[in-house]
Amino acid sequence: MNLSRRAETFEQIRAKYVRFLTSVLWKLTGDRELFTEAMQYALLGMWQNIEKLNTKKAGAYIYRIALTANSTAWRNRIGKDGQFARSRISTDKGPDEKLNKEELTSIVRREIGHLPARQGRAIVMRYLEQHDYMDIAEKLCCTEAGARSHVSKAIGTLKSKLAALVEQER
Amino acid sequence: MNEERIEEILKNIGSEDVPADVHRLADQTSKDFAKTLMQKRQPKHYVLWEFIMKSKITKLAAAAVIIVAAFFGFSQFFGGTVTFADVIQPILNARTVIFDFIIGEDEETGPVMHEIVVGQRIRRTISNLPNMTSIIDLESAKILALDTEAKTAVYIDIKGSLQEGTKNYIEFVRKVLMKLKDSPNVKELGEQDIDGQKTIGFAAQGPNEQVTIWADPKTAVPIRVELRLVQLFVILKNFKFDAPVEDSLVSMDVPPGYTLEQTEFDFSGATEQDFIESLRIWADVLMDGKFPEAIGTENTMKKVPLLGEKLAPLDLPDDEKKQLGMKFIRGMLFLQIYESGGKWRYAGQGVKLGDAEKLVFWYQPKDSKTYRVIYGDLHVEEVAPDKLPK
Repeated sequence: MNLSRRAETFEQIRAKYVRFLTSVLWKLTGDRELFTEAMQYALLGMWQNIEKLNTKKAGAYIYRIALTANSTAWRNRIGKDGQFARSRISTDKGPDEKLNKEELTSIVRREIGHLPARQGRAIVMRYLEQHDYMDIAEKLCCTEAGARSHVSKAIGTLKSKLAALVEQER
Repeated sequence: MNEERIEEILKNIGSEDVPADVHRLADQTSKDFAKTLMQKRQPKHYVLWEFIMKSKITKLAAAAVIIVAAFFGFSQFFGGTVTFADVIQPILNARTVIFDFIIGEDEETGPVMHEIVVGQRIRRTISNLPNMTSIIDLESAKILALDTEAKTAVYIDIKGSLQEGTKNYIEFVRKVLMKLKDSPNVKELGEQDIDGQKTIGFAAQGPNEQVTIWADPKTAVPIRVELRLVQLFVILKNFKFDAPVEDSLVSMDVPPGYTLEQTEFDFSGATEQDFIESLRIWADVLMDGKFPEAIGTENTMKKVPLLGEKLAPLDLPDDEKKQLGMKFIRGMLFLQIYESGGKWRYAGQGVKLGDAEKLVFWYQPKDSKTYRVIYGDLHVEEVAPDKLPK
């Protein structure tokens, strides 16, 4: 595909997904600077995977692009180990309450990007896009029970991550 | 922490509305990206590179290309007619020289460097990095690298071995010409049209260098110089001699409105290990697991924007991306030492990273009778010259 044709295709795909990306990336970042960076990565990801986004499997790729963009933007902000600076974690509460609501929300946003691919997609569809399980099952090409299982496992993974973070502070 | 709590957080995140200004931010980011794509005459890597630069995701590779362009291992400088002497006079005597130069023979798509040379100062811009300008002061061994888009400046110290390897191309050409001007090995090539202009050509041959100059037959002003030095080929063209140049263009002071940034670049003492890391990055990051078709300065210059493109989306912190970029460049600087005078060969095209049987690169260190051979899995062996592939 020559550059001109590629740019044209990109523009069509961008127009199709820009609202989705804006909504999902905003909810995953909750911060304008981080959002802009994630959006840039997502656009780069779209450009680099333009052939894949022009196929029937485009739906799966766009979720992957969004989640990777989110993950990369968060990593750049926080650092290699993916942990918040200690100063951001309050120490005057019991172990389970060391992380305040804002911090917990930030960690959940970030960790969604680190979930296994299908769990990540499932959680985005269920909570960020508020799809019902039948819809999720159709998009993930699985049964409704399978969709519920992906969501449930994702929540379990997030719980483990948060628990590990609290444990570090003990 | 229970699962209900996490579900509650997820529901809260999901119920957030996207503020209007965030939609505008998304539109602007998309437009910026689309705008760079509309520059259809530029190759894809350039487009992405410009976007990456604007997005400030990483500036490392930009600095890297300046470094690659600035340093050349001309450490081994080897060593008529009246008409030939006339032709070379402007190059030898001009107070200022403005010209373009291209490393390699790919004039169509290779990066073009535009140089303004005033004494020991050079102002350099590179066609595939339109936002980057470097001013090189050969006397104080410093580079002032300017990002004209972000309005940032950084000083890069090139003292030590790098200073030795850094050359003013015109000065280099002058030295070659001085050496060849009385040589009996100057051939007149006759007349030829170059870019619609009638020229007369001369070729001078030294033991390790060959210079071809095409000049205006009436004024004797050079129009094009081709210089071959062992495996290195350089084209210089679009000359302007003794054109007035404002002092500010070659000033080493940070221009008004620019922010000076601290540099952590350390390009001194590039080693074989750096080169090995560089090969690993070529294969692993740039080429999806295979070694490239060719390496060397010409190819590095072309691939540096790709390095930016490939590094930017990696799921790594910026610091690690910078380290990767630094390693890549240090390795290429090691190669430059051999490029213009040493014995080396690259045979890695199509070899997979990890293939312990295939030879990728070999070179003969100074004063060594054997060659150091780097294999596809990046282990190194000492090999006698007669055991190497012909």
